[in-house]
Amino acid sequence: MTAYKIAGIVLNLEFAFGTYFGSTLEQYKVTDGSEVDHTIKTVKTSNLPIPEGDPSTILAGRRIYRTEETETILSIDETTQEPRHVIVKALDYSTITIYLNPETGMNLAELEYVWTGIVFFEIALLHGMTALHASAVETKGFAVLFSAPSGTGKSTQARLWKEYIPKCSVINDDKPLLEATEQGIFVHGTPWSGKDVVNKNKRVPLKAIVFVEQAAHDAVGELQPLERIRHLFRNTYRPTDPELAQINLSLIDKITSGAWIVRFACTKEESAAKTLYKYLYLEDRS
Amino acid sequence: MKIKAGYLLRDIAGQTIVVPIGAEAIKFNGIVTLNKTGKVLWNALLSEQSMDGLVQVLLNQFEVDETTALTDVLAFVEKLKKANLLE
Repeated sequence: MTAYKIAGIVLNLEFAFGTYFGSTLEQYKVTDGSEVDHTIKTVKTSNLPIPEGDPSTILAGRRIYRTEETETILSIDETTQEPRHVIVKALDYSTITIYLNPETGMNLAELEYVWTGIVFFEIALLHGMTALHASAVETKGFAVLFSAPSGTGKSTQARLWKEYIPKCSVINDDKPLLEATEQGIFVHGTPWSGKDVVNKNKRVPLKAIVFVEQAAHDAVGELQPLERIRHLFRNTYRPTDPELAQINLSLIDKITSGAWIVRFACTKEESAAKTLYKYLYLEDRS
Repeated sequence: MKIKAGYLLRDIAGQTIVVPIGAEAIKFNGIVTLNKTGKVLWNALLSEQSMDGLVQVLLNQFEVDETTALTDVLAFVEKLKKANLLE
């Protein structure tokens, strides 16, 4: 099994598919014998380890079984109630195994990407970092994160910056991590970077989080605290576990207070990139 | 009446907000904001309360008359009912 260091978290990863990670996982490999804190493994099998007895919790499409040491999540087809896949998680997140069932006919490589991401983001919360649904770019030593629900233009804005803003590169196009420290907010690249599989193993100080909405004209506006909280809450990973949910809220608190957060009503043109760049980097806002 | 299980109240950046967790988070991904009165009533509704009980909570906490307290309670309970937050 290979060890990786992602956002300072050392973990073993063993993927049955790895399709959505490609060769970009290489940059996170560690060979210095760092102590591994977590192991995430995916297995392709129709022989699912379904626990005996009744589940502890029943949710839509999920049955959760708890013991003193583990939590087993059984994903089921809600129509037929047939078991689909299983995740077995140690309660301390030391090991997590995801069993992906080929008999479901589902895209297992995609499911592997989504579920390993969810597990990793829960681990990241334990380490004091939260994943924002955003396209992250970097220029002049700072990161700008474009955040919005899927399909509303954040990747487009990141692409415009890469094309029209000097020396601008992509950090992560799907789920960068945010770390709140006394020195400020930092952005980490992770391998969970969407279908384009472009990500960098970097830790970059945050310039701004930009919540994007499509519009006929480009206009940047500052966001008040309540709107910041709403946007951050909607666009960060929301765990079902109450303890992890509390950690996420604490991070949202720090990011709301500590980060520059703006709303950007924008077009899909070069002018959008230039307008926002000028606002964030060139205008004196002291 | 009582608040449903699965909601956390937190003070974040000077705002008092309520967020869903667990099974409730799957159904509802928004947040609810509370003012000072709302926060007091929310905390009271963590255990079973009657309308009279809630009015009394406000009368004990704030310098208001009974009519104002009742108006505030009715409005707040209506807000919670619309958001499907009460058992």
